[in-house]
This record gives sequence, C-alpha cells and structure tokens, in this order.
Amino acid sequence: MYPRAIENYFAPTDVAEVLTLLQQHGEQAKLLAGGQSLMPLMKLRLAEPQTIIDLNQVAALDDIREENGRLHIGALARHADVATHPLILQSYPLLADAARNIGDPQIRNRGTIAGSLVHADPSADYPPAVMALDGQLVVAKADGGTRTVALDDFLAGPLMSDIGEDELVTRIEIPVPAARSGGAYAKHSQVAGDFAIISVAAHITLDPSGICQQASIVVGGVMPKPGRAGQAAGLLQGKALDAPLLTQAGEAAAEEVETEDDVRASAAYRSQLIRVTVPEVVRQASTRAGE
Amino acid sequence: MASANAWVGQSIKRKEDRRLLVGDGQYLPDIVLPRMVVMGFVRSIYAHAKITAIDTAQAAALPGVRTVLTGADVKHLGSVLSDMSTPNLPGETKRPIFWPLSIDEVKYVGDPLAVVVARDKYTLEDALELVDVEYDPLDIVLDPEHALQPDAPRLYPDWGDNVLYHQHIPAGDPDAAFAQADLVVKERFRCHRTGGQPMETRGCLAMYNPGEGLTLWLTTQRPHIKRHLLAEYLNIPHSQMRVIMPKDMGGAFGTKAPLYREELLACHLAMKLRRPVKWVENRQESLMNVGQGRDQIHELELAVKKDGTIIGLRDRILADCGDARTAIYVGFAMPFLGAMYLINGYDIPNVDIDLTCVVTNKACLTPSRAFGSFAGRFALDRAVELAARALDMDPVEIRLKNAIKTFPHVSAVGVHVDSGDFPGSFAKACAALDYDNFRKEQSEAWQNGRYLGVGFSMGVEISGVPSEVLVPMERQPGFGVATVQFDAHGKVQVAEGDSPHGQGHETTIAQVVADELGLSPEDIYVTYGDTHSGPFAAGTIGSRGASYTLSAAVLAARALRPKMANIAAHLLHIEAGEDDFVFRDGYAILIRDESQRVPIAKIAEVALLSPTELPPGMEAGLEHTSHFEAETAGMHSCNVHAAQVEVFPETGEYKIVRYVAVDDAGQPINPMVVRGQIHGGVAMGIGNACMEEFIYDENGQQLTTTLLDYHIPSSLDLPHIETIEHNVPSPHTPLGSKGKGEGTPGMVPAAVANALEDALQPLGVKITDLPLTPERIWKLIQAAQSKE
Repeated sequence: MYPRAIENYFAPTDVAEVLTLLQQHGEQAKLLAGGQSLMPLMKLRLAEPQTIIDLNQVAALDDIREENGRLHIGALARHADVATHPLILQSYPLLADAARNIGDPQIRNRGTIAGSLVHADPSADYPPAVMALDGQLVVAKADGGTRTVALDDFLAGPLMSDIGEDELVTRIEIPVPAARSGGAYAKHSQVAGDFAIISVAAHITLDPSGICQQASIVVGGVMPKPGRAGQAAGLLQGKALDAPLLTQAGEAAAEEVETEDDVRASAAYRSQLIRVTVPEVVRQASTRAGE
Repeated sequence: MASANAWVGQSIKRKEDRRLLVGDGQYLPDIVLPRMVVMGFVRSIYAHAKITAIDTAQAAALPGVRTVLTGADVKHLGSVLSDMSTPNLPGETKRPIFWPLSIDEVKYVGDPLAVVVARDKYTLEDALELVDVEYDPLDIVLDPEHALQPDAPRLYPDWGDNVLYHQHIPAGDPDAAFAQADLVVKERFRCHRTGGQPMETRGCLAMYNPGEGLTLWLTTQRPHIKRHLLAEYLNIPHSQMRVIMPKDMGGAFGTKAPLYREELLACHLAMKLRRPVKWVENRQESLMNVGQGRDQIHELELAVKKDGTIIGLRDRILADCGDARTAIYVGFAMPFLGAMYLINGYDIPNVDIDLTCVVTNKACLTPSRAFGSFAGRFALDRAVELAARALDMDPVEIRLKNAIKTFPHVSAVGVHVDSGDFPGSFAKACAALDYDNFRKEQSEAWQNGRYLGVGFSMGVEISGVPSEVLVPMERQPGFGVATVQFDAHGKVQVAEGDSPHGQGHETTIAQVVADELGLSPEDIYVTYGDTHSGPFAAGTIGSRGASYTLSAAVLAARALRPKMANIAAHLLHIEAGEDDFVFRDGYAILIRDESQRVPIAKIAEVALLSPTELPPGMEAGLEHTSHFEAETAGMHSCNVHAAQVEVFPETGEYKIVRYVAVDDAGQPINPMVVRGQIHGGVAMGIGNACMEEFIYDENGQQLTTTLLDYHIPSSLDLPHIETIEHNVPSPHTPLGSKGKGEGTPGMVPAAVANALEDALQPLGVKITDLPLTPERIWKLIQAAQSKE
C-alpha cells in the first residue's frame, strides 16, 4: 500500500506548461488531479508512473459557466462543486444528482469531473450522466491545437479512454438544454457511495403540450462502457409519457442494453434493475422538464 | 455505609472522547522508536500449492533491506500451537502443525511464506515484490460439504480427512420428542462468511534487549494472555516478556483476541536483529486474513406441539473454519460456543446437536462479535418463525410460549442464565411498534400492493464467562480484576488487566469508583494495557467489562472504606468505624454529626505523604486489588429486537423502516455508553446480515480484499436504531450490571429476515440463506412466482 518511488514531480501553473511536460514525459507520466483513482492504483502498485504532473496549481481549470449556448465545466471542477453549483442545480440537475452520488464527502471534495471521465470506470456516476446530456470533452494537444470529442466516442472500454499521452482534457462542454427539458439520475448500489450495480441517466425535452420531443437514456454499470438505450428513447419520442409507455421503455432498455455477471450482481438482476429504473428516472426527468 | 453520590446511571460524557475527537489518540502506528525497522510479508497467491522455490537474493540485496526469512529459517521455533494455545473442548479435536511462515506448502491466498525487514515501508514493498516464489498448484477445497467428501483434497494429509473438530451435544430424549411432535419444521439455513473489520488493522512493535527481555506493543484485546503464550512459544522467561496494548486501539470486534503468526515473527526478528521491529497490517492483508467469521450451515429441525410448544431440536451444524492456523481459537472455538448457545433464550428440553468443523483453503475463522452464535441464532429464530407460520400462530406468542420463564435457568445443554424478563421485553417492543395496529396497516398495505413486515428475534447474550467455564475450556480465568489505588493527592488510579478499545472503561469504571468512594469521576483515572503495571486478567472479550472487571473495581474500592474511616476517625479524634461515615462530595462525613468531616484528599495525603499522622500501627498506603468471581456458572443479558421493513418486490430492495432494540443491561452504568454498544452492535449485525460478504472465486482467490468490495455500511445505509431499556439487574454482580458488548449483532439477522419474509407473505417467499441482499430477495420472489 506504498507506491513505488517516482522520479519526477511537477506542479505546473498553466496549461501550456502541462502540455510541454506531457511532451517530455508523456509515456511515463500520470496527471494528478483529484487523485481519487490514481492514488489507490499507485498504492496497490497497479500504476507505477515515473513522473507525476500535478494539475492542482493550474489556474482557471475549475470554472463552471455558460458560454455560447454551452455549459463549460473546467476539468478540475470537484464533484462537490458540481453537486452544489447554482447553475447546475438550476439547469442540469441530472449532473448534480450524479455528482452527489459519488463516493463520500472526502472523495467529492477532491475528485474531479475530468479525472472521472478519463478514468472511464463503466460503473462510475458521471459517464452516463454526461452522455445523457450529450457532453463533449475539449482536449488540448501538445502541438497547441485542441480537439473536441463526444463522451460516447471518448469512452473506449473499461478503464480505457481516447486520450493521448500528450493530451490534457481542459473542460467538459454540455449544450444548454432546450426549453422544457429535464434530466434525472438514479443509482442502485450495495452501499451508499459505492459504484453502481446499475445506474440510469435520462434527459427529456417536452413540447408545450407535454409530448416528448427528444429523449436520451444511458445506463451505467454495464460493460464495456455505459450503454445508450436508443430504442427505449426512440419509443418515447413524439409521445405523451404515460405509465404504459414508460413500462414499455423500461422493457426495451432491459432488452437492448447488455448486462454481465460480476461480484456485485448477476446479469439477470442488472436487467431487472434497468427494467424498473428506466421508467422511474424518465418519469422524474419529465416532471422536471414540465416544471 | 455506602457513599451517597450517584454517578452510576448517568450519561456523562466519555473521558476518552476528547483525545479521540481532536486527534490526540495514541495508536500503535504512532509509536516510533530509535533504530526501528519495518516488517512485511510475502503471501501466497494460490489457495493451495507446493512451494517449489523461493528466491530471496534480489530482495535481500536491495539497499535498505535488513533481512529476508522464509519458512525454513523459522522452523526451529517449532509449531505454533501448544496445549496452552489450543482450546481444550469436549469432542474430537485435531491440531494442525504449522510455523509462523508456511514451509513447503501454502493453504490459502494470503498465507505468509516469507518475511522482509527493511528500513522503511517503501523499501519494504519494493523488496516484497522482488521475492520470487515458484508454486506447484494443488487441488483445492473451498466448500465445507465438499471438504467432507472422501475424495476431497486434504489440507492436512496426516489427518485422514478434513475434520478439525467434531462434537455431539445431546440432552434429554430428542427421539421421543420428535415422535410426540404435532409438527416438525425442518430446514437448511446457511450463513455466509462475514464478521468484523476494525477501523485500525492489526499491528505490533517488538523491542528486545538481553537485560529486560522483550517488549511487544500489540493491538490486542488480551495482553496478559498473549504475554504468557508468547513467552512459552519464544522460550523466554515470563519475567522477560512484556506486552503493551497502546493507549488507544481502533476497534477489534474479536479480531484482536487470537495470537497470530505475524506477532510471533515480530518478536523473533526483534531478538534476532536487536532492533525494534514494527508491523502495521494493510487493509488488503486485513481483509485477506482476519475478521472472517460466521460461515455455517445448519440443518435444523424443531419438534413442535400444536399449541406452539417446542419440545425438541435437532441440528447438524457444519462450520467452514478455513485453514485453522490461528492460535487460541484455532477456528473452531467459535462454532463450539455457537452450538452451546444455539437454543439460547428458548427453553427446549430435548436436544441433539451435532457440530462438525472442517478445514478449507480459506483464511482461518477469527472471533467476531456474537462469537460463534450469529449463524445459529439466525437459524433458530428463523425456524421458530416457520413453526409459527405453519401453526398460524403469532410470532410473538410462539416466542413467549417457549422463552425461558423462570430464572435462574439452566438450558438443556448446561448454559446457566441468571436473570431476564422476556415477557416484559416483548411488551415494550410491541408497544414501541404499535404491533396490534401494525397488523391492520400491513393488511391494508398488501391490498394496495405494498409489502410491509415486522420480524422479531430474542437473545440471551453472554455477560462475561466465569472461571468455572473458562478454565477447563481455554486454560484461563474468567475473574474480573482491578487495583484501586489512591495517590498522595486524593486522586484514584484504577488499574485493570483488560485492554478496553472503545468500550468506555475509563468513564464507567470512574463512575462506579466515584460512587463507592464519595468522589467525582474527574478524580478517577483508569490505566490498562501494560502487563507490567496492571493485574493479570483474561482481556476485553465476551462482555466481561461491565460484568466482571467493573465489579472488581467496585469491590476493591469498597475494601478501602474501613481504612479510610479509621484514618478519618483518628484525624477527628473520635472513636468511629466504617459504618459511622458516609463518603460523599469528596468528604468522609460523620453520619451522627455531619459537621464532623475530613476531606478524602486529606485521608489520602496522610496515608501516603505524611504517614506520621496515621493511627498508631497502621500500614501506610491506600490501595486494594480485588478479584471478582460471580457465584454462578453464567450471567446473561436477555434481549428482544424487532425490525419493521418495507420491501419493493420488483427489485428485492427493502428499507428497514424501524429497528427497535429492547436491551437488558442489568444496571446501566452509563446509559449513553450502553446505547453506543447497541447502536454499534446493530450496525455490525445489519452489515453482516445484509451487505457484507467475504467472497472467494472458484480458484480460492478472495474477491473482497478492499473496502470497495467488502461492503461495510455507513450511516447512510442504516436505519435509526431505537433503543429501549428493559433492565433486570443481575443478582450476581455488586451493582447488578451486565456486559453489553458482545452479543448484539447476533440479534439482527433473524429480526430482519423474519420481517422480510413477513412482508412477502402474499408472495410465499421463504428465506434460508444470508446475506439478505436485494438480489437474493428478488430471486426468491422470482422463484416463488414461477412456482405458482
């Protein structure tokens, strides 16, 4: 439970410096943000980086604001900040729900949104929530350029994401929801704050008469990464979200999202949780959309 | 005459808490000695394998590494278990031969096979990775029923089978009882592997010099017992062996009662290297090696008359003891006591209990709060529930019909129960739950598609174990002991031989001694943990604090009063004895003329600082040691717990809406401390019953070696725990007090399971296995529905 010695520790103060360091040390370096995944991995010696680049001194990487029709969340925004930020509570409650479900207060005070997304644990809370909101990651490259990638594409598999050795996620962007939109997130776990057995994030936009215009439903706790319940969401579009339809959506989601057995739960139980939880979460999302 | 202060019964704040809350606690890892080195283990990655080669050269060559030893290097120390460190129980016992490090063969994942000593923990872990071990895997046995098969792989080939211990406990005429029964309930119950996981892991620090000998700071519940076992094993004079439990220890829950192989090695290495050697177990090692308890299968039958009277019980118990290589308890002492306590609060006259303890390729069972009886309590209180249902009888009624009614009571298998009141406890539990109305609410809920249920359990919990039982069983005394000693300034030191670590002794002993001597708890300080400064005692185990140790403190304090009165009379120039004085508010006060009084501080000053003022011929000093032994073969606390739940059948998830614990502390010394014990016990019981499980895969790899996977509940996962006192003072302790630490978790699994099954009555679900995970409940519902 004591990490292997590291050769270098850097604490750069701006993004350009981080990128330069990544260029020099990328292959052997790990970025330290909140450390909530990296430090346990290092203590277990599952990660043995030679170089640590500590991001905590980098200025302005933790901003949360709306700009040009998009919500910008700085890479270093802590879970506790996301869970309590007035703008997020007001317009993106789904995200606050997810942040509030992560770990315990100590973890939420240190852990960061970009750290969680790059770590790509399929049972973590953020990925399904950010996917349901069609979130994208803005990635700075060592050559000075940036690229923007949808989280759907960024997540490659369990603990695998599309990040280069010389790249840094600088922020998360989420489109400002249309009027009459709402989202919700729910998790089933064995104890509070644990990783999900199944989690469900849903984001719904209604028209003035209450008909569903747009829906996205994402299921976490499945392999190799959170799964979109596209058919379930499709069922909702253009319809009033009554109870039979929601039940149908739950069935469809349970059918289309593949589940696996692991130490936490069986595949069959996971499917059942999807079946039961999708209607509940969609109902809550649509209630919020109507408010 | 007794003192007139009444600190007993008051919920004063704990003396311990200030230092603990502000970070001034003094734990084992805080102790740092000059020239200290640290120790760590190479542990088996196979559940069962021959060790074909160990290459330690690279590790030994790493700068900062002091030594690397393997099993061959410690074989000369001899096998760990002696007569002193093996339970001496009736029945057939086999004793594994093993060394502090495994030699040639490993028997579970985590089995220590080499030890590295280094200058710091970082170097240590680097070196551990450099030890190269070659294994030749062997067939494994993980399931206790498989272990009994003739063709099962053997852990100890010379045994001829995998049976560690077997005991048949008959009483009365069970065959006749079953022949006369109107109803026989027969069910198989399985309790999984779960137990205790203290916040502070194990650890020790050994220091040696040839003059004084060996000093071992150790996270232990039993410093004196460890001392004599260590001296025996290390072959050093008892006078050269000192064990100290640090001032504070982050919990134990039974896991720090055994003698462990790692502790022996720390001592050996300190002697060999002439340097202080420290070991602090990490969480993975802890989850791999200790706290694994319970793990029993019960095939239980009840013979019941149609009026609900239980006239007979048969139980075939199979306990999975793991590798059985932990001294003192050896994996089978817990199931044995569980079998003896199986019938518990029920008065069942005809009994046939057959206990088989087997070894498997898993970690050895260690004690966990509710010592051995968690599984049996679940099985019996579930079976009683099934009987009630079969007879269409109320679950409270059937329990009252069969509960022990007259005290003292001796159970069919010989357990002495001194005092209790089950009808009174049930009445309070039912009143708290508004039980009669609840049944109406439940019917209405069922009609509305909601599933509410209530479940009860009852228990007789150990309140210390007397010498009469412990001496033959474990070669150790059960008495409580305390030395009460005035200092020269009128303050009182109480030295005990136990090692409290959360039980609140510093507060509760201060309260009782304050009352006996007319002082305030502020005036009393309690010391413990060091075998060289406290009296010999069995340790902090089995709820013996409030029953035995505290009673000894009361008696020792009382024994000082005649001398105090004599000194006071002398100072007042009057003729008077103990009965003429009351000790109150810091004074010895003459009863017939309260203006005649002497400060107790003055009495102490005369006894110690200015003995020239003592009555002529009186010996200086003011101290006494008492050994308290209850005049009974068993003291117990009789309790009733009830859980009320709502189940959500679509997912099997449920909410414990209420948890009511009606508990008997005899005479609570500090009701807040008692409540704390019950809260902690219920929390542990809920964790064990509902969430926690040590899981091994088919290769014997433990999958739950981090707290991410071994799910201990937090406050967010627990219901509000309602505690209700129903105290029946023990006739055998000076204050009537009873121990409350040990038994509580054992009350929980049946209460919750009975409530879940009650809620799901319309769906026809029967619960026989733990843990009560939502998935298990959901599967039971699915199975019941597919049957329809």
